[in-house]
Amino acid sequence: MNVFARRSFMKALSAAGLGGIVGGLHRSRASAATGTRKLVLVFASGGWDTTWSIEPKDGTQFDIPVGTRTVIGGLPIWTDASRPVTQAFFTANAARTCIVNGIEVRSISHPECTRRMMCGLPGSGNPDIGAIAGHTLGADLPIGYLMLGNVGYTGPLAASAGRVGATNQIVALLDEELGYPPMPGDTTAPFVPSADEEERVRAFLAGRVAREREERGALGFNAARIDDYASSLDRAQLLRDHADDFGTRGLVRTFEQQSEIAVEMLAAGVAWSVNIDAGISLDTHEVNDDQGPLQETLFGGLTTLVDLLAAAQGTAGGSLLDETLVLVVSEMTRTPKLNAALGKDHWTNASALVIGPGVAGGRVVGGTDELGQALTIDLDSGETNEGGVSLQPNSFAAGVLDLLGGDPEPFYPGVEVLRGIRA
Amino acid sequence: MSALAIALSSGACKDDTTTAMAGGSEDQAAEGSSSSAPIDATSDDADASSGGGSTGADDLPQIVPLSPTEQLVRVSMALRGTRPTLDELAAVAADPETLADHVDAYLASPELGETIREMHDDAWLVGSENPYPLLDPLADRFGTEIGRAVSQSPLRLAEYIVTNDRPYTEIVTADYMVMDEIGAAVWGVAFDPGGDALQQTALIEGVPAAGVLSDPELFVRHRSDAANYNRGRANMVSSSLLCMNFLDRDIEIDGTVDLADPDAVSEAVRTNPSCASCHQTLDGLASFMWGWRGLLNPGLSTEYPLLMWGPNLVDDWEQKTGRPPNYFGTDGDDLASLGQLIADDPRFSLCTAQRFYAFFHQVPVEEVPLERAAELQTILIDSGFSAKAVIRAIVLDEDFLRSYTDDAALAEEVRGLKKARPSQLARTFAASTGFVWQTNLDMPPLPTQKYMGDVDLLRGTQYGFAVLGGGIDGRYVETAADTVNATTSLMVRQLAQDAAAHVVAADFAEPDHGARWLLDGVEPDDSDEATIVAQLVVLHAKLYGELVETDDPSVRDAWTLWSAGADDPTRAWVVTLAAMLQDHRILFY
Repeated sequence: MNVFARRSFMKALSAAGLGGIVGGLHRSRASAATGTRKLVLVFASGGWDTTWSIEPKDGTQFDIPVGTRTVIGGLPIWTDASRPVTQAFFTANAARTCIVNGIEVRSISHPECTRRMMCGLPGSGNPDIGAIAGHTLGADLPIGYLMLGNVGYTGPLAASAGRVGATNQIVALLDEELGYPPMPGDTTAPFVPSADEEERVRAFLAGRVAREREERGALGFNAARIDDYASSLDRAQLLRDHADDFGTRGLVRTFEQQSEIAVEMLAAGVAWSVNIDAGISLDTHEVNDDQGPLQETLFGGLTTLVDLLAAAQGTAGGSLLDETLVLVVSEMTRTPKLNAALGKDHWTNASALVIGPGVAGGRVVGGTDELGQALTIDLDSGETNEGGVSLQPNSFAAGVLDLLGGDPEPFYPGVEVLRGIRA
Repeated sequence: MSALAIALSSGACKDDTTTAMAGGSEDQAAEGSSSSAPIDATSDDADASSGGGSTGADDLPQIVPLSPTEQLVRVSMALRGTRPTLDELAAVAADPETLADHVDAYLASPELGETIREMHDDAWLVGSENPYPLLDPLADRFGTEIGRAVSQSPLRLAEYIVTNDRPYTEIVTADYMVMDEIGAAVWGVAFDPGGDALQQTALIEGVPAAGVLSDPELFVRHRSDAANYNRGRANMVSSSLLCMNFLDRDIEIDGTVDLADPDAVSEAVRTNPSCASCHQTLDGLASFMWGWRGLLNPGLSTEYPLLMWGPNLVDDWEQKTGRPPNYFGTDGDDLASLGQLIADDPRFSLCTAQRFYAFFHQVPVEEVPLERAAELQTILIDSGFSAKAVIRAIVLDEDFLRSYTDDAALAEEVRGLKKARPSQLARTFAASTGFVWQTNLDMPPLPTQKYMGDVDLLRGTQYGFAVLGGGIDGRYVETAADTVNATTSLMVRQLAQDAAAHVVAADFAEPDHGARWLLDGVEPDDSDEATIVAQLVVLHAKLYGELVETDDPSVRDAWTLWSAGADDPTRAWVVTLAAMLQDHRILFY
């Protein structure tokens, strides 16, 4: 069940002036507030065993892999010569990376933990952090929140979000020449409107929208739907202008391929936030040793993503990395001990990486004790603190939204914001 | 005690902060609406059967109902996915009291079937496109064709039960499946090749009679790995049939339990209070399902039929969890007893009412008004578990037939626009224009192996646009969108353009005006205003269900659009129809 009813949610949005785009996309890109940041949300599915990298443990209560506790740029990392990519990632990026451990996700179900980590809230019907960022900070872009990965939640913010499809089939809709072939035997000449015809069609549709707004679509739920429809026409046209940036139709699933498209979309001003599927499954109920190569793949992909962001031109004179936050989450961590199949099962905590500008680089926020139980923390400093509070997914999500320059309150009302991830 | 009260008093874990063991995985005018009388928003007894409303006192919030013909459009779209016919529109315009008769006709129409399948896919999430191997006797099929046939079988069962108005309890008690010849071959059940395309078949040998719980596809889709012990499946059954989701609860793991020791884990989930509070219920429910294999990867199979049921697995709970089959405190025996226990549980009837209401109103199940759900539950029970009776009550109630309000305080609650799902658009376009949007992906330059075959671009998720248009894929996207976004707009734009080109070419090639889809009042060289406008009036009825006059602003808008391209009347029709077919009145109803 979503935490607060949709009705209340929409009222909160409305009160915050975020109730949707009215009248299409007329605001300029410069309207985003100073200090706001774009977002790439990387989801590493399956549940990572963080003792292999970002949460070193001794071998007393934990079954741990071969390796050494190495402090890299202030971050304690479990390293081993067999996992060079992981170590190299932190060597290059520790100064802009904050590790968050001990997030009390309080579930052991993949879908439920995924929702709690991505949305900050339990149950269905809520938007994830990418959707909120895209809607609130990138509302004037063609797709505020672009979902390249499989997993993503838009809740009531679907109008400003969009998926490319399992096989990047959005390409078939962006350019007639890249569309699907007609059925064999179909001899109907395709209709490709001229620019003039296109304009007339748009004028007709706009006229119909205006009439609908006079009465049935004047207020509330109906008005939001008509506004969504109107803005979708503008957004679609803007997307068509970027047809070449989406790559080719076909399977697009590697981390690297998604990273390339993500950076293109952010740099071109098509999207404000993008989600990426890391393309691995960390669900090692059997043979937990697979975590090593899987996390090597993850950190290899992250290295590529960060390098691409660093190489891309931002809008403020620096690189795109200077204005983009990379958030890496997995739905849960894994049990301290191996099970009988030499794997590890699901654990009720989660961890995350926050990478980018404004981040408390070289800092570890939160943690777990010798039994793997989450420790309480000071939300302002991020330090573990016996008299502190437990780190809940909503505080974490609110903290990320705050770091992005958004206002957490409409989405996480009354929630204490994790500010310890800020520099 | 009322059925509702009984349902509310039932529960699994009494403490929402109960704890559990770490363990395995488990994996959405005619006469013009202004002529309609407003409804008193506080009135519960508006004349629903007529679809009309009562005029409230001046100081009460006012909600304007749809006009009679708008009501007809809504119920037609909701039940059939198509617009009303011109005759139906005329009949309701002449006598609004006939709306209920049309609803009854729609409930009896075959088009209701896809609606029922879609509704149940929202709950069971089985409609995948995963390809199955090309093995005898299905070696000449397409991989996705086989996969689609298999994944549809639970939904076909629901369709069969509802459209034939059989007791809805058969969802969990039926001693048959509903298969096509592909599904029957995959599972090795007898199928009459000379009979209907879809047939009632026997269950797989040895599987107890429990309706959808006897369909292997449900458990192929909702797999259970070695450590999960069917708990994910138990929760799927509980959440989809009882609206009770174990995952809504927070859990804490007792760190003192040695998770490396299966015996210690087994003991803890039975005796450790922090674990047992949920597991005593969840594991008992899971134990009913031990006959189903935990995993089946069709791609690794070498022959049909596939083996999914294992009689020798039925008692494996003894070694795994030690908890015998038990349904929230009531001992059970096998899947058949589970099905009967569910059928007898007031939560099942209440959940059914909630799910049906949620689907048609396009709201989350959790937001269905409990009082209304209880009323529908009573209708379900009193009708002998007629799902059609519930659907009829839903679509004829004033709260389903609302248009808008001028009261800003109420406006968020008056959901006066329903979003058409991609499958509804598929049916609308096919019925209105004859256009079926599809492609074939086995042509060069794509792989020539028989794999995809024809792809339904509005219903397909892997290559089609169902998800981009707001539909679900049953795996990653579990909730349909109730609004439109850029990708929906892109999809409808292309769909409208292709359909417009198709229908104009087809209609102008058809000399018999009565056999045309849309353009039944014009010829390619007609361009005089009266003729064109008369045709536009007819198009408003056919495409939007609107009975309008020639001076209606919408008709004038369309005339303006058409006349701008009058130099080439045929192309002007393509442009005009491409515009009309992507109007918001196509996407919302």
